[in-house]
Amino acid sequence: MSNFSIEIREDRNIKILNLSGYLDAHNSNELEDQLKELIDAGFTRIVVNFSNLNYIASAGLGVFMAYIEDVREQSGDIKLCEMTDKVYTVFDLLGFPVLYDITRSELEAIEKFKV
Amino acid sequence: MEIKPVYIKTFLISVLITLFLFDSFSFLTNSASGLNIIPDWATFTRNFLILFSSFLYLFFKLNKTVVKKPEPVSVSWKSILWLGGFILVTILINVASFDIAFHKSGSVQDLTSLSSENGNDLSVDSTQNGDEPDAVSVSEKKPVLLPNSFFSLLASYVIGIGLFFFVVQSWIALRSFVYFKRTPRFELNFRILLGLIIVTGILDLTTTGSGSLMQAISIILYIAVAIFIGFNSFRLGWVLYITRRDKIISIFLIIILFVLGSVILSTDLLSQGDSVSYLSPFIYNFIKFTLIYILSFSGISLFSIIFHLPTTEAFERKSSELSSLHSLSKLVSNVFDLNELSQAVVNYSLQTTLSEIGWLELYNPKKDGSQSVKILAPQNISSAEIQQLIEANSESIRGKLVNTRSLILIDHADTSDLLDKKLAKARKISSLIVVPLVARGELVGGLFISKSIQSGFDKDDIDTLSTFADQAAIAIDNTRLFELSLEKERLQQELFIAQKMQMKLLPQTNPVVNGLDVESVSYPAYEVGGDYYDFIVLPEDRFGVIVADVSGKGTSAAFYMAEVKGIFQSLARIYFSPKKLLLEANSVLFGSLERKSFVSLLYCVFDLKRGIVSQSRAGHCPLLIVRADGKSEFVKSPGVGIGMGSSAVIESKMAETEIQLEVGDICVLYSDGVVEAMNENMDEFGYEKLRQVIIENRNLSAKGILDCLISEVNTFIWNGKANDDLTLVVTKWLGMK
Repeated sequence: MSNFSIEIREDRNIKILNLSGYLDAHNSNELEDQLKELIDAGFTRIVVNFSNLNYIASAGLGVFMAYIEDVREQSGDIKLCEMTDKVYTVFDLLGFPVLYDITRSELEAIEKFKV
Repeated sequence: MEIKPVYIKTFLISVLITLFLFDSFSFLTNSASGLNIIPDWATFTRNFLILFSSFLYLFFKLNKTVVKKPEPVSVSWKSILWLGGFILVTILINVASFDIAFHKSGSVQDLTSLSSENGNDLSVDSTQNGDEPDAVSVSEKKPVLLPNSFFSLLASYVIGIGLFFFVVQSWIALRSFVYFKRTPRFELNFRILLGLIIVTGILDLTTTGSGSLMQAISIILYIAVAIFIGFNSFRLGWVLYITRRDKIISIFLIIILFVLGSVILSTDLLSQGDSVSYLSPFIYNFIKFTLIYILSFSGISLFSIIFHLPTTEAFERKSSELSSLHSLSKLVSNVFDLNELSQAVVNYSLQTTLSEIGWLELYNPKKDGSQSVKILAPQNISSAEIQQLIEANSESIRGKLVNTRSLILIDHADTSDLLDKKLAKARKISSLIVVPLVARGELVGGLFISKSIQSGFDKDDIDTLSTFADQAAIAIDNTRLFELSLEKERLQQELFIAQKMQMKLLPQTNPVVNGLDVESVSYPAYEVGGDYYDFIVLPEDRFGVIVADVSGKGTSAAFYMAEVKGIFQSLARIYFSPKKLLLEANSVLFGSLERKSFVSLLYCVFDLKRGIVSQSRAGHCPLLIVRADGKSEFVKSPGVGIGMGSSAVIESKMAETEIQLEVGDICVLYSDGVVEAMNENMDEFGYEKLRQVIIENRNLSAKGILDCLISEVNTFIWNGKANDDLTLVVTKWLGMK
C-alpha cells in the first residue's frame, strides 16, 4: 500500500540511512535486514535520517530496539535525527528520547559520535 | 385448428381406398372393352386426386422428417442400405410385375398398341393426341403390367404406394448425408432440389404434348434439377468422419447400389413400371429423379471414399488425440488423485503415439535444494528398471531436464550415453522422448515415452505429447494447490480457535462499579491481536483499568498479550500504585520479551471514595480527560514503554499523576488504533478529532459516547481497512452513592 525506501550514505566512517515513505509492520523487516547487514559488516556507528519519512508504526520502532544493545556493546550507537513532528510524537510517546539520542540535524548526530 | 398427422393419414388412406374402389368399379363394368371407356372427366379427377394425395403425403412426410426434423444428423453406412433397399425393391417389383403382366393378362402385350389404347390414363391432358412416340421407341416390345384385371389393378396400387414409401425413406437417408455438418446454405440447396423435382414431376405430366413454351420450361427445369443434383452430390463431408471399416463397407454397398441403379436406368427397367405410372405419373417421375440423384450421389461418394481411404488413419489418429485430450481435460478438473491421473496421461500418450513404454515422474524440491523423484504409472516397465535405465550415467537425464526444462528427444536410445544401453537394448527402448511438465513456471515433473523403433517420434507425436504434458502439469499443480488450500484451511481453523481463546482473555462484560459508568470495546485488526484491556476490583473501594498494546501484530503479539494479562492480574493485587505496578511488570517482561518487542501500557486506579484517579503511563497513548464543563486534557506524563530498558534505567523516567474528578468528568483510555485509524488518503483520525468527539458527546452515557466515537472512526476510515487493533475504554464519573 505504501512505499518505503532506504538510501545509505557514508560520512567519515559513519553510515547514514535515509528513510523515506511509510514505515509499517509490513516493510519494517526491510529496515531490519538493512541494519543487520551493516552491523554484521562491522559498522556500529549509524545515523538514521527521518526527514523524508511520513509515517512510522510501532513495529518500525521495534527495529531500532533490536540492535541498539549490540552496537552499544561495540561502543557504537544508533542515532536518530531530523524527525518530522508527527514521527517525533510517536517516538516521544514511547519514551524513546530518554533512551536514544534524537537530534534535530544530521550534522548534530554526526558531531555526537566525535565526542 | 391443428392438423394432426393422424388426420392426414386417414385422409390419404380414404382417398386411396375410394380411388381403388372407383378403379375396380370402372374396370369391372368395362372389363369387356378395356379402360379407355372411362369418361375423360373421371380420369382427370382420378389422376388429380392421386397427384394431390401423393403430393400431400410427400409434403407431410418430407416436411416432418426431411426438412424440419431438428434432431442431430448421424452418418453411417446403414443409411446407404436404405438407398440400396429402394433400388432393389424397384428392380424386384419390375421383375415381379413382368411376371404378373405375363401371367395375368394372358399374353405379353405390345406397348405400341397399349399406349394408343391407354394414353388417356397415363397423363392428365393428353386426351387428343394419344400416342407418345418417344416413350414407345425406348421400351418397345416389353411386357408391362396393365390394370386390365382386378389383380393387376391391386398390384399396381400396392407397388406404387410401396415404392413411394421407399422413395421417401431414401430421401431421409440422403438427407443424413447432405445435412452432415451443414450450414443454412446446404439446407437450402437440398430443399431447392426437392422442390425442383416435385415441380418437374408435375410439369412433366402436362408437357407430353408439343407445346414449345412448356417444353422450354421443362428443359430449363431439367437443367436446374441436374445442377442441384450436382450441388447436393458433392456434400461429402461425412466421408471424412466414418471409420476405415465403415468406409470399406460403404464402398462395397455403393458399388452394389451403383450397379443395380445403373441396370435400372440403362435397361430402362423403370419404364416397365407402368404399374406405377398408371397409379400416378407424378410418383413415377418422382421415383425416376430420385434414382438419378441416388446414382449421382453414390458415384461421387464412391470416388471420394476411395480417395480418402489412405488418409483415414491420420484422420482417426487426430480425432482420437482430440478425444483423449478432451477426456484428459475432464480428468484434470475432476480428479485429485495423482495416480489415477498419471495413469490416464500415460495411457493416452501410449495410445495416440503408438508407443510401448511410458511413465510419469514427479519432482518435489527438497529443503536441501535437491529434488525428490516419484515415479507414477509405469507402463510395461518396472520402477526398478526405470531407476537402472535413467541413473546409468552420472549425467542423468533428469538433471538435464531440471536444468534445461525443455523437451529431450533421444532418437537412438540404445546407443545413448544418457541411458543404460544394455537395459535399453533388452527392453527394446530404441527411441525415448522426455517432455517436461511445467506449471506456473515451475518444473513439476516429466513425461517419459519410449518406442521400439529408432527415431520413432515425429513432430506430430511431439506436439501431442506436449499437449498431454501441459494438461498433466496443470493437474499436478491443481492437486498441489488443493493440498495447500487444505493446509491453509487447517491453519485458518487454528487461528479461529486462537481468536476465540483470545477473546476470552478480554473482559466479557462491562463491570458494574459504584460511582463509575464503564464501557469498553476491542477489535483485533487480524484474527488475533496485541491489544489488551482489563478491569480489576481492588480493596478499599478502588477500581483499576488497564489498556495495553503489544508492538507488532498477529500471532506473536497475541502471545505477549496473554503474558501481559497474567502479569497484570497477579501484580495488580499487590501493587496499588500504578507506577509501581508498571515498573514491576517491566522487571518481569524486560529480558523475556523479544528485543524488538515492547508493550505500551496505561494503568488507571480510581479511588471511588475520594473521586480521584491516579494514572501512570508506560509509552502508551495518554489518558484523555474531558470535564463536565467541556474542558479537556491529555495527561501526558513521562513514561517509557515496557521492555525498552531495565527497571533501574526507566524508573526515573516514569511518573504517576493524581487527578481529582468531578461528577460528569470523562476518562478515555484507548490504543493507537483509534488515533492512527487511517482513511484512503493516509490521513489519521488524530488526537484532536478524538477530543472533539468526546467533548461534543460528553452529556451522553459512557455507552453513548463510545458508540458515537466508534461510528465516527468507522465513517472516517470508510473504504480504508482498519490495519491496527483498536481498543477503547470510556469511563464517566458519577460520584459514589
